Amino acid sequence: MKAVLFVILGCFCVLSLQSRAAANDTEDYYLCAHKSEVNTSWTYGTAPAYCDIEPFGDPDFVRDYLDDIVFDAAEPVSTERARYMNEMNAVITASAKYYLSIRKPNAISAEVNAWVYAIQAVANQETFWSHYRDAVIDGRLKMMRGDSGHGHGMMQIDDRWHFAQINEGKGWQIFENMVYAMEIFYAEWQNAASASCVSSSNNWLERTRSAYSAYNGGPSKLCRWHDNIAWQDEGFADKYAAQSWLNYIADQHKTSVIDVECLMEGVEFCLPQYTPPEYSLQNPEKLWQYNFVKLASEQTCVFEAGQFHCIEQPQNAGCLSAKFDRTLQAQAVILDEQQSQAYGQTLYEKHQCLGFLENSFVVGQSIQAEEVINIRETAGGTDTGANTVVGKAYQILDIVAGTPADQSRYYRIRYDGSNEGYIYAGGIWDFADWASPLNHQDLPVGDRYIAMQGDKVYVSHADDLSITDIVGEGATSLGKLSAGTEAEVLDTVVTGNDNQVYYQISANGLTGYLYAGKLLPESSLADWTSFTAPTPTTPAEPSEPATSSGGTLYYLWLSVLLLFRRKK
Amino acid sequence: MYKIVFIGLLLFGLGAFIWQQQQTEQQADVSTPAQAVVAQQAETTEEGNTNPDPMVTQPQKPPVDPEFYQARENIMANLETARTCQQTGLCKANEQDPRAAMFEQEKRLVDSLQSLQDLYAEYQQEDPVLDQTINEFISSPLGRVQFKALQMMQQQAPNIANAHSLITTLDNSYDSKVVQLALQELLRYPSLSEQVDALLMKTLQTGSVYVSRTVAKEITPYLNASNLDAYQTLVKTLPAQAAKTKLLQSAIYEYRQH
Repeated sequence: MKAVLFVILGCFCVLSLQSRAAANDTEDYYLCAHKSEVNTSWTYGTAPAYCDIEPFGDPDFVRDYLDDIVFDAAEPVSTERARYMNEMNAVITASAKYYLSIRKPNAISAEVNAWVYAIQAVANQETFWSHYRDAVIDGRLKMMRGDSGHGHGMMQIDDRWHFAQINEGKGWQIFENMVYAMEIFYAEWQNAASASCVSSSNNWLERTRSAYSAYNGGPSKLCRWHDNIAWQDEGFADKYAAQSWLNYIADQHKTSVIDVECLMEGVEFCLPQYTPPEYSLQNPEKLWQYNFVKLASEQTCVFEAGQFHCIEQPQNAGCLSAKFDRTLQAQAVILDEQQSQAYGQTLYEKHQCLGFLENSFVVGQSIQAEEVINIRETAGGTDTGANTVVGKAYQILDIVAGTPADQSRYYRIRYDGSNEGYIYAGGIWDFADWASPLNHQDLPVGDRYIAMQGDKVYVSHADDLSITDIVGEGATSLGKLSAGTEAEVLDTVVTGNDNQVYYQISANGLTGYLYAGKLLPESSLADWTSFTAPTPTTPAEPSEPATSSGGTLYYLWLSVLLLFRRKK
Repeated sequence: MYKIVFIGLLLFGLGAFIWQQQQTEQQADVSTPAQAVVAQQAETTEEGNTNPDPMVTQPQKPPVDPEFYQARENIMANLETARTCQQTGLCKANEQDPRAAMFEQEKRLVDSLQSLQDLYAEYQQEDPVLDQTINEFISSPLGRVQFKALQMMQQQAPNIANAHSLITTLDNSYDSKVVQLALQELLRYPSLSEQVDALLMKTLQTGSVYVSRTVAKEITPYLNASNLDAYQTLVKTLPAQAAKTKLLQSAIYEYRQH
């Protein structure tokens, strides 16, 4: 079944690439596995139809990191609805505020409030704030689908008109879903400020109604609510006025434990906030001892021996757990400025920290796939539809640490030419079931992307490149290499959050480090060096006249000369 | 008599020979597509295409096949029909899918623009009518139409008026695909570097979430010795945890490795 779904997905992807202009004739309930319509209806938190999150996204990621905004069908409906609505209100409010803070940092508080209110009303109009559902019927994690399955998620991103975006994760992943919708709504919000049907930019009701008309009907419908009202405008106005969601919200000022800002910035595995049941000023270290802590500087740390041990990216927190032999939950205690400054800290570079994962590999290492495993766009993200091939060799291009408890890890690999994606590679107990190490020399030459010891590379950058004494900032140039220069790789160093690659090389009598590009978010390695010698540029041969007119003139000229020579 | 004819032919032949040599040199200079673009840029100055007004007298060109004009007239009529199809009811609204009329219009416009592009390519033409059409649709609020107009713009010689329109319209864009394509196109206008830098910096500060990431990711070709400091200053003012900040830091780092 899954294979069939992916064949269909693949076909649509090809069509999508071929013609951006054409809308996709997507079938109803496209890629809808285990559709559920049991005991569901349009009420806050629930919708009439749900489909599995798979194959669009990773249900385990949702369970581990977004569990608070999953509607649990196993619980009594009214109790669960009350819980869900409080959590979802905190998430929608924080998301809307964060979005506006990016686009309009100096917005007055009246506009911030009006904007949040507008987004709440849009989410109400579209889906009654419904998105994820833990289905009691089959135990699968699902997401809501509306409009015969074409509308994906809370903000109803339509797969007929936003097909590429659906396959990028803007349907199933709730924060992507909201950001994408807010991008469209904000453009209309701005247009509405000067619309003829809006009496003043501070008339928030008119401005919201105008923005909704254009959001719903397209940019030309900014004044539809005023000039030629549609039933959607009437429905929206009713919901906006009623604010019925408030009936379910006990605590309007509740903050979400989910790290909304982190997730809205496209980071996965953002640690939810953990609030300890008891807090003691006299002895706070014990609370910190068993949890990750997030400092005011945004760094994620483990407290050990009177010091914070930190990493920059929360998604790699599992490596700290491995380093200090802790089984820590995927959650963090948020520390204020004073608490953050109370102790010294050690910051671990990403690759240094990832090296603490037991039996994990390093970027550049070759592996052999031991399982057929789906390849995702991101570690916990959208399925590409491609799988690994058992026995095939791959080179690791990035590592992401997953849940800390089992030290799970994901590797970024290349597949089917130049495509890249992530595979799950097991945890501390079962890593060997997923991938086994391979010598670099066993990796087919055509599958090598990062050069390793013993490889030869050629400078492919147009500018001369410096060889330096050390890697990174503060290095001294030892000399330059020009395009086409051959260099022997003595060692490979990968560093930084974007996986900067340096080769220790020997060339032209010099030995030092050569910057060779970065691997994230997209590889730039080919811009810097190549595995193959550049094709020598031969001087242009004296070309034969390229056009018939040139040739004709030439021969005409020659004929005339010959003719007159004969006459003489 | 022979002498006069001979001298005449000699002069004609000499002229033809010099002309041919010049042509050959030009062809030899343009040996790759990239070089062809550069050569085209050099040949067609930005100022040379500043006025897209069809009423302005243009240099004499070889006569164009009348079929070209007929076909163009038909396409322009289709474009006009598409332009107003929501008002005329030709693009039908759907109660359940309120954007259906908009998407229908978008499709009609894109199809017509594609036909226009194909026609000009077939007849190897480039004129103010085409420039003006691109100028109009490059500012379309419909993303796919804007994208198509931008693709057409890339096929033409640089046109500074259209580049100005593009910069203006990108100011509020939330379409990453359009912006990605526009960033390639704007590289052809070094004289607009100040305006482009201003646009990119504003986008990085308060632009669309996705577009600002695209700009930060694709900015390397725009970095140079004279604007590096400004971008380095800017990156320090952006939120540290934001994806755009990390991408910009990464691009600056890579630029500094040159």
